Amino acid sequence: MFDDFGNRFWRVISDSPQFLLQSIGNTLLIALIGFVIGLIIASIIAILKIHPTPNRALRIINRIFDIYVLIMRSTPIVVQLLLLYFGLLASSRLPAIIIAIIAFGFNSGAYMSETLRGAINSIDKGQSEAGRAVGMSYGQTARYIILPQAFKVAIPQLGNEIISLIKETAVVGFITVVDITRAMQLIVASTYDAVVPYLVLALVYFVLVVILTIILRLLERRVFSHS
Amino acid sequence: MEDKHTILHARNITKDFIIKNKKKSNPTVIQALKGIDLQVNKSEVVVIIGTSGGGKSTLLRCLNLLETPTSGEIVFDNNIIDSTQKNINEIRQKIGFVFQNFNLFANKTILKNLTLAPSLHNKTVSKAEIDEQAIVLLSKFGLQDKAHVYPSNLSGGQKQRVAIVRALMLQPQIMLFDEPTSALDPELVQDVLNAIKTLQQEGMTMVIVTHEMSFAKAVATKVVFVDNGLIVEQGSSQEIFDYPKSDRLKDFLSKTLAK
Repeated sequence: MFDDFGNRFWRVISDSPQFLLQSIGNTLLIALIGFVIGLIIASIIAILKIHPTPNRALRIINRIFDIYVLIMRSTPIVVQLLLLYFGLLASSRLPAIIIAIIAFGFNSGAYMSETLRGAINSIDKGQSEAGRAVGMSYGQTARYIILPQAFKVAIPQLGNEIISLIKETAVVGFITVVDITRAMQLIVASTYDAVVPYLVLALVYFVLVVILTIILRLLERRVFSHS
Repeated sequence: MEDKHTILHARNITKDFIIKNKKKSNPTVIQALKGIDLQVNKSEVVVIIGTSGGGKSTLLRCLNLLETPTSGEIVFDNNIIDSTQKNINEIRQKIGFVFQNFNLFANKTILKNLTLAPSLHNKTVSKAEIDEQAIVLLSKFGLQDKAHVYPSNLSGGQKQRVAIVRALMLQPQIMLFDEPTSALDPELVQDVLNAIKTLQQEGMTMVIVTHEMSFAKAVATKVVFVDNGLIVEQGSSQEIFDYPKSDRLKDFLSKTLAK
């Protein structure tokens, strides 16, 4: 199984490094931009959901958010990808990678909205009262006071989310995006060697996550340095 | 007809808190305020005293609409105000509020705590000018060296003085204090009381909920005794402390002053 391992390993890497780097780039692009989109969606949902005095329109919007979160969490991301690519956005002519970013953004947004909601609820109620007492609007208080503190509380959880996002993007090959997993599948198909490329694949994900973990650590240390 | 010197007038305020049971059909209703009429004139210092749970804090929170009264109205500067109106945030700037637990913005430095709201509200004034104003006020209360630290690095007394300065930054017409010294260690109480006295000497209109009876005596132009959601007695500090009429006030004073 591992005969001539060194040569086979070298071949996977050196055959077309540009192709590999590009596919790693796609993996990171989908995960990172998807994460940012998700975080924006999650912030909006969370902040509207905890509004203390929702009016009628807001209650309806929040109900719609509930349904959205439910759908996103109760169907597999692969199915969501397929439905977007072959269904909802089939006529949009958007590149497949954009569709993948949208799918992962909306999917992680649903998960993170719950994370953030918990974090926001953990912030002392006095903070938002103080915001109101100095005449700041609900939105201003949320933006300048509550969300920054909630993000801080949520950093470990959000870190988890982005790490799983990186790995979950492995299914984008289903809609023709060439990420690192799809790239390795193509190499396997052309070399008839299934072991080494997949080992390299595992190694790539491992290294990506390790780097990300280190970045998260540093970020956490920076953020928590003044309290 | 409002007296033209009246800044704030609470008219027949009631506040019910509804506590939902598992059975939604019969929620428990707690009547925190049962019809309160309170008038605050310019440069007056109104001190509200009373038993815990008697409705003092609820009353104060109704005055700047942190709580929405169940019925009755709040008249501020000759206008009826309510929490749904568009300019409520502008009005709140003119009614400074100091919390028992300080509630400084934990994610902002002291300077930012002071300048955040003014810079959001007043886009025409430069940031440097607002900063300058903050430093001047901090110095006045002996806090100039704290401008760039975070609230977690301050003592309770310092936090509360910063909270007072934060409210002053908006040039309020009246200041409300909700038990400003109750969360402080005994040795830090005096600093905060001195800060409030400074404001009194400058003619600031204030409403103060407090348990510090000697302080109440010293600063109050009017003392209001609230019990069980109602104003039982009000008058000058001499009338309230030296010549209490009602049994409930006599009872309250004998318990608090004996300490």
